Amino acid sequence: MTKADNEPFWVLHGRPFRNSSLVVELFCHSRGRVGAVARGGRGKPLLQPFVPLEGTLHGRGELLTLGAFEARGAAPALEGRALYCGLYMNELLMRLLHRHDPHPELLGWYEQTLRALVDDETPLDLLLRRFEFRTLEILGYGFSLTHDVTDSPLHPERCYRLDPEQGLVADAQGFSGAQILQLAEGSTDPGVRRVGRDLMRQALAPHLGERPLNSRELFR
Amino acid sequence: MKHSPLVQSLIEAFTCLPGVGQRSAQRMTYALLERNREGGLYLAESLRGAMEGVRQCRRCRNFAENELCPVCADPRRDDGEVCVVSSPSDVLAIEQSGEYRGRYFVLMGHLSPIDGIGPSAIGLDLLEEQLREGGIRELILAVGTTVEGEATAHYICEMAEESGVRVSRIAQGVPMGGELEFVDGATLAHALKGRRSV
Repeated sequence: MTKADNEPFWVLHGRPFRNSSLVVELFCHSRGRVGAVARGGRGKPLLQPFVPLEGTLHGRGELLTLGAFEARGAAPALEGRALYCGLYMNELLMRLLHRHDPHPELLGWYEQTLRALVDDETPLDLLLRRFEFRTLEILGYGFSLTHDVTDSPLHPERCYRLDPEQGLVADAQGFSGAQILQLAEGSTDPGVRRVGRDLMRQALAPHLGERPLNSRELFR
Repeated sequence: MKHSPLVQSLIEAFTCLPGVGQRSAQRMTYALLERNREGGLYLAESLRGAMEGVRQCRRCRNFAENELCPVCADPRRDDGEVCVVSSPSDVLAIEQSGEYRGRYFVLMGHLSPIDGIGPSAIGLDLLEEQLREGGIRELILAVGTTVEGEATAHYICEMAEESGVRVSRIAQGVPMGGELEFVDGATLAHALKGRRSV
């Protein structure tokens, strides 16, 4: 396939190329993450992260060419902290997704989370945790929050540590079983949210490599 | 054919310019060697002079040849008003409007986590220090309306809130002499939201 018509996509990142063009990283419905050149892209205000778009991609190989495109619906109006969260999600996807590895389900989940960042009453950090958890699950690195690696239910009074390859392992110290179970239920307790953050950091670490995620710096 | 070492190194040197590849570099090299030796020497001198003599202003981070840039050193400018822009060319554009009498703060970029550009890479730690020192009455944000520009603006707002400095953002809307039907939807929406009574 060298041409896809009306491929739904989101821009994850763009950087200037030549005088007025952009090299964009797109998250497409049927092709996953791809890099593409958008001729004259710097003069097109639509071609930005967090705008749902659809368009035509030409070419083959590492870098495709973006043809005509248009908006396919209203853009979630991310502002302030919600905008930082969106940037964080984009950075995460840039680091976790391989090029040309399609994940249509993840695209839907991404879209849903972006809209939730604007409309939902749920605290932003919880939305991010759910996004991280579901993303790992879709990419095949998921683990259970209710059962340990031996498939027995978590005991509230025991402690667990995370083996990112397999899941939760009972241990003398680590995360409290009770708090992990509350996390699975979507508790908004500050202590549980901290556990969620630390747990997901550990789960993501092996997939991110040495470099830290820069968007974390934005949250002061 | 292989180039002689001096020619080869000049070609390689030219490719450090943005938008110049191997072929353009070769053309530039031959043009100078064949026809314009004088121009080539002038280029070499200016390059050395600028690379060694130009630094960043201690206060606003714009390019300067002294400790302070001409704007920051000018006693007639209002030190209480600081206009935050992304690049030196933005300073030039605002200066040409002739409307502004305050000073500037040049970020030399905008927040872009994916490119590894965090708050300190665009000098926001220096700006925070200046906010804390006092003397600044108003920050005028004149950054772009891209996603990165918005993130930068929000970050600066949060910083200024802590020090209680007034923050404003330049207006967005219909250009002078522009006709409404040619203005894009997003800009029109902003223009409507930011309307003022006359």
